[in-house]
Amino acid sequence: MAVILIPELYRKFTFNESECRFGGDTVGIVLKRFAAEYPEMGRRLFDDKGSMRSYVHVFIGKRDIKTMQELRTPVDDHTVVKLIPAIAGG
Amino acid sequence: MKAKGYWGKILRIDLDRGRISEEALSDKVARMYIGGSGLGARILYDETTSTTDPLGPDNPLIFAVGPLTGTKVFNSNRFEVVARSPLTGIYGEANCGGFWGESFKNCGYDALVIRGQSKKPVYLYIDNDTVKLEDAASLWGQETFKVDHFFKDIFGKSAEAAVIGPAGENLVKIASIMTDGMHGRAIGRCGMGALMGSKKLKAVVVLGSKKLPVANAEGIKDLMKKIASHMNEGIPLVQRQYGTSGGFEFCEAIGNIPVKNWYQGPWPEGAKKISGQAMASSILTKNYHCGRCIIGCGRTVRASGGIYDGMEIGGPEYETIGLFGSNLLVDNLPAIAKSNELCNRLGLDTISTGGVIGFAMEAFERGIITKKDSDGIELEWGDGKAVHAMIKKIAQREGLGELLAEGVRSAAEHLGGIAKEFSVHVKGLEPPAHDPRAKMTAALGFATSNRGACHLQAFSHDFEEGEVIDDLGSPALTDRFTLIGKAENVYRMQNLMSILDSLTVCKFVLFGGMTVKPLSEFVHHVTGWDFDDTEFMKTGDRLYTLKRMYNVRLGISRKDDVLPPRMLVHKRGGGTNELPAVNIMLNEYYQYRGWDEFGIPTTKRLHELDLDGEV
Repeated sequence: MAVILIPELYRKFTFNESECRFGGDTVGIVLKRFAAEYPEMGRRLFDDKGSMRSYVHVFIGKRDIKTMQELRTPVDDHTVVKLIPAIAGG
Repeated sequence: MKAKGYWGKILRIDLDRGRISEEALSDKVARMYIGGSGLGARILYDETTSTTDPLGPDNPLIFAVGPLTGTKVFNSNRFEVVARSPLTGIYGEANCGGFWGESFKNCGYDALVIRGQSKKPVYLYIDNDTVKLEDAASLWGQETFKVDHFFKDIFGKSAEAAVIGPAGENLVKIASIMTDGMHGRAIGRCGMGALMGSKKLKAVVVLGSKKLPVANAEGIKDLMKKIASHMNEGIPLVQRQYGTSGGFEFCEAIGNIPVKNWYQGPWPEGAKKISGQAMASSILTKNYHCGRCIIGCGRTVRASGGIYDGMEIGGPEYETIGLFGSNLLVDNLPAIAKSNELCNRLGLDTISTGGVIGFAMEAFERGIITKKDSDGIELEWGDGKAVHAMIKKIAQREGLGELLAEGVRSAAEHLGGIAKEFSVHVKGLEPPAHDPRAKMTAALGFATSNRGACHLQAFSHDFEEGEVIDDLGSPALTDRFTLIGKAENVYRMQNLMSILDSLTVCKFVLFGGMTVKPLSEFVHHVTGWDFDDTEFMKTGDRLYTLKRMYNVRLGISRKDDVLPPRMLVHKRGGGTNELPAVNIMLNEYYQYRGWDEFGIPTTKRLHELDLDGEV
């Protein structure tokens, strides 16, 4: 099962869990299961049509999945999925 | 001077007499006020009075760098400009990246103080120990890009110029000072370009090549190695990829962008068209790094139309996109990029210019301004071409531009009636693209910022329900609407930002883990001072309070620590339907600050901050 690291911003939607594990062959399946477990979190990751919101950044290692195979990016038991909070300005 | 990281010298220019001199910077002053805006505020406090004319010869234009500038420390190549603001009439400071700061420091100075007014246009040339004033008659009236090209042609590519455009020459009170030519880095806020214009000073050109001694080069190297891995993951990577506007749609979703002069709520389709992601897939050609920057949030875009058509040019960042995009309902990225280009060429602050045009559009919609006033320009929401025409008029003070050149507060006072109800500013400064109704720390931060409405004096918006600074000394914030913990957070964040603006380090280093302890370690390694995180934060408190005392001398008190009516009475919807309870937060905030009920620093707190006898 892949590990999802949850930033402080989102922990109020995950009952203060800072990380959790979900099975699946792709990051999309893992995130969908994560979203199903925590619906409030799910609303922030995916829009009404089930597409990932453009401002959500998901990294595996140091790479944004948008530069990989997006939600079809393969994962395994050693994969660490990081959710990066959207920030803006400066 | 014993401390490393400083040259121990301030360069002084008297434009009245054409005199150039040097003054020593003492160890005591350096340690108490660090550099950048801290040192600038000290000089400004000492050399002006409550009657100093903001556009008069006695208002000093102060450029200052910090002890880390000129070292290899990440993102340390910024500089500050400090003066009494021509726009607000109170304390003014503006911060800029690019390459000018390091080149100036490498000339062998820690600060530059320019007083007086030249009778004819001049530029200041500083090539290490060679300092001279040169005639600038042929450059007067020229746009900033051309002037930068001129200096690079004459002095070589390493020449860095801080330049004013026609707006500064015309004393437009929202005028900027620009560096980095077509890449357009701005000393944007507080109308510093107008002060430079009043001095008939077209540019300050620097060519520094001296090497600054540091106390512990190995210590710096080791700490940079530790930090580097954090700078190459998470938020800094997202900033590199999408710039500062990568979170634009997110900000729209939570009600944190200005829409239609801060009146409207949702604008999701528009936000999607002008976000950092949209830019990355359209006009972006590459990212831009300021000197010593490891992040690279700057944007380089392909210009469309006009004399720079097809050329690579500095692109708009988040605040510019907010003020020239959503604030004016312009959902066309090339049109926003053109607004950015025009402001950079003419020398205008994009935040204030977008703010004042938004005000004018609302006045036009309400019939307070008509086509007759605007020389035939239909100031309709969403019309990029009307915006471009208005930018040019402001820079030249033509027609309606004459009124708008004075800023929102002045324009509203001139128009009278209900205009003040929709004039959006704090202490005379137009706000950046963050809505105080969406985040309570932003509300308190805007109200208490020493330079007026500003997101960078507290820089709390990304740390409220977002990132966390572990060593800040206050708990993480997880609910943006509650008032709990907000006063303490703003107090600490403002102190931290005061230090960063004095070290002249980019605030984005916080996202890469360069927080209180690593920063104080860097100061220790550079200067040799035994400078721990306790002294670090206390110094930030001192600097913030010094700037407040400058404003207190000008009559600023609690009555001025407010938000504009629009943000206190109008529920905007679209991710937020709150009205900030600033007054309640102020009580607690003043307690943390050690200020009395009127917002005046107490004698006791001044003593605790070693400011008794200093102010």
